[in-house]
Amino acid sequence: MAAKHMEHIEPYSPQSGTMIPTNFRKFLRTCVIWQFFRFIAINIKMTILILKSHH
Amino acid sequence: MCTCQGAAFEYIFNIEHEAKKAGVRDNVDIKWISNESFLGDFGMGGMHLNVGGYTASSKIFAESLYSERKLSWIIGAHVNKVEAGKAHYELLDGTMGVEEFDFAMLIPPFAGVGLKAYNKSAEDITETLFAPNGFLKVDANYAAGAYENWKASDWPRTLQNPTYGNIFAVGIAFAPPHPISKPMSSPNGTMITPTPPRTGMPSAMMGKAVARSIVDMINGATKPTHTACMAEMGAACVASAGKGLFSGTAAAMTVYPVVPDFEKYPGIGRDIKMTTGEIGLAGHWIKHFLHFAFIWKAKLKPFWTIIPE
Repeated sequence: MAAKHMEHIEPYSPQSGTMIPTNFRKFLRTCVIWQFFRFIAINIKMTILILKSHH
Repeated sequence: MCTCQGAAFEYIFNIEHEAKKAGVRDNVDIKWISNESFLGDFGMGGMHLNVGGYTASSKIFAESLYSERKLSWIIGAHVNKVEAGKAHYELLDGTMGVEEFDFAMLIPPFAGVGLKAYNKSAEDITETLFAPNGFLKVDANYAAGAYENWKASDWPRTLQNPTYGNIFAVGIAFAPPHPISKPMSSPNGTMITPTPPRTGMPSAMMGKAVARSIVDMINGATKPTHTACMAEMGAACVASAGKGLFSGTAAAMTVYPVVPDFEKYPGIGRDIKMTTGEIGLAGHWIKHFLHFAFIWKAKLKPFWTIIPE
């Protein structure tokens, strides 16, 4: 099966030596339901970081 | 030596996003030229993240994102001359190159404004007050020397000038003891190293600590009472990679501490649980929300004090 998300990558180029997200991973990035939960999770992480940084 | 790389990151990814939206992406070659020694350095020696059962360098994630969005890169580059349609640069291996462009955005080298300072007797105290790069000296260790000797404790805590107790410098005004990234130079002797990022959240936290110290000193304290050290604080950064309520994305990152502490966190210098990053629509929403929240805070509107830095 062809990997459509890799079609723009030139073999042996610097770009071919890294990881490329699959179409499903890219879909999740703008999936409103999934991103709603990520929004909450990121805010919690950032809040903990802010609280830890204050002296 | 710009600070920070985030602005350039946002710019190039938003250009790419807009070109794609306009249906002209295939007509545009977009290239990133940076003084970072590796993509994803960000001027802070990169960062490591736990993803999918691996602890991986930001280099991998940055290269992944650039590759996915069809952006090519030239790293370890010092742009030394720009003329109409051409940018000349020198690489870490000493070779020279030229990149032709129709449209370019350049971030100039970052330095202090070159103020001259005089005392009451009209004696020049510029060297006492400012580092050679024009930034104001504070309680940092400026004698750390080579990279191998660098420690997290070199970084200032009170941001007070050691000679003049009534002078402080925060954010992009204070002189860092040294870069965060390992310094690199070409065989020709050209220093090619990104400068430490200290805008955004670290700047605001330093400003807050110094303001509180000044209040306490006005009320009788003999020395600063609050600290904000970049080697002890974390930073949250949201870098836009494209605007759009449902199509936008942004990289939401947390890093703790900003300056790696290899004594406390051997190997990667940072708390791996507090150092995170991901890209997605949620990051864009956060960035959009923060835009209004910070303007609200700047205007001192009700409850502004609960809005974090």
